[in-house]
Amino acid sequence: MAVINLKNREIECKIVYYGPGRCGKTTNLQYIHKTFRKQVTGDMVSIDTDGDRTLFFDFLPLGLGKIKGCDVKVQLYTVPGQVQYRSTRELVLKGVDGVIFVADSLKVRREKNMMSLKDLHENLKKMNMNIMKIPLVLQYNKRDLESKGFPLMSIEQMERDLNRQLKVPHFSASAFTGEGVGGTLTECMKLTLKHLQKEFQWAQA
Amino acid sequence: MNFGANIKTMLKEAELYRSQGLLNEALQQYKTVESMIRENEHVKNRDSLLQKISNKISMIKAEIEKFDKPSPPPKVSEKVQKLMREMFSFDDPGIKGSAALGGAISLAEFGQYDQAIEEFAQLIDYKNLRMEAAKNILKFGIKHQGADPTVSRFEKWISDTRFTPEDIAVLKHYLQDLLKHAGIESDLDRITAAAAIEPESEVDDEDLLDISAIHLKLPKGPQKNDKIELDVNFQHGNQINLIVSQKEKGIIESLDTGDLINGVTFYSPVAIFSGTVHVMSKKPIGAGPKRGDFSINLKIIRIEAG
Repeated sequence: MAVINLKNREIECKIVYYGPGRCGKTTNLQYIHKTFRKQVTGDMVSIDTDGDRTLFFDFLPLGLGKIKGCDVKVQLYTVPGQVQYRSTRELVLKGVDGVIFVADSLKVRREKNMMSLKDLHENLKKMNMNIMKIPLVLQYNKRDLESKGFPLMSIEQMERDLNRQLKVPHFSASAFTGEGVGGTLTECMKLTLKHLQKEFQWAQA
Repeated sequence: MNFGANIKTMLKEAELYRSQGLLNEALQQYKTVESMIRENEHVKNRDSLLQKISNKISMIKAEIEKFDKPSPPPKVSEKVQKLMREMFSFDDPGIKGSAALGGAISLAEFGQYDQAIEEFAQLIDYKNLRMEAAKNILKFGIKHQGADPTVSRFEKWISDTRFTPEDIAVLKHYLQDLLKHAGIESDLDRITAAAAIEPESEVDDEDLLDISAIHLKLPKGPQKNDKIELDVNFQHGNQINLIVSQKEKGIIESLDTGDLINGVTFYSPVAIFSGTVHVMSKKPIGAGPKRGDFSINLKIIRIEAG
């Protein structure tokens, strides 16, 4: 739930990176933390297991500066992808304003992508939110692995699997190299701010 | 692709999956390759290859087991706890202090039970949050500490003056539901009935000397059987009050409301005598210079002859 202070002209919104385990959500945040130093306003918090799996969440605060007369702050979160952390995902998703769904391009992860998107849909529903209405962007991650000999799904196939009904913007990406990471976040931010504008009329003409 | 080249590609893929942390996929791939080699007797170095694959499978299985093994959530740093409190609790402007309650709930949801229960316990002092805080202590207590300590905590609330009999009835019903849901049998009716009985004192108020200190053997807890001496804060007839510093955790944990302690020595300016005391209440002090210390009320039940 965005915090909008019209008196001070401040907006704080929450973007959550969702997706199956090991799809690259944390890597997205690490890349943003490393690359967008000007916008990063605090430390990145990561709580993971010794096997490098996110346990509770990752958190990164950003300040985007003035947009349409408002000081825009963004909190980026990732959820733990492993199936067993369902209740933690629900908790992290609470009050979300925009979602980036990170899908794994590896062929062997096809089913896991679909299951995770279904999980997102169900968790949003529990919070009386609609996956068809929330600002959502799909990121098809790990495209760089093709050159290392991994069998990947084609973008067309991923679109058919995940985006046939949603029809939301999608990006090819490699969170490891940084390709598509900024584009995905920018698009999600645009959709989120537009959505909040419709709801709260925060922007100055 | 011929058989050898196919096996080589599949093994490479298996190792790549492993490098990505996709252990189940790597395991599946190795198992497929293993069965393909077993079915083909003409593979060069068949036995040594099978041995190598078998070793890989064992290693991956061990890694998967390690990740799947349920382990208690780690205690996170204060900084992260603060983040959990602030970012995941939602203030209800209509309820004063709801952010503190929400913050403690967030901590508990993230498995920071000890800290959360400590914070809930502090909120019991606030009337508008008392019942919610107590319910959360019971809920997360059952989840984290199990039934016995949670029931014992509830037992202490029965004689805690902050809770009315109506509050206790509501909490009892709530705890009963939690226990039932967890498949645990517990006779709360017996506990509430037993706790209501306070032993009658045989000591006449008028005859009692002024007591300046007492000496007793701790009946249970981490310092069980330790002999301690405590100054009396004030005395009213056969009831005496002690202030125990919060640093004396061992003593505080060894004395509970309802305890009956025999062999207590009472020191008065004119005589030393011994007897039995009943712990009437034990409460943390909420304000003033002794905030955080414990106030313990004892009733002298019996004085030994002679």
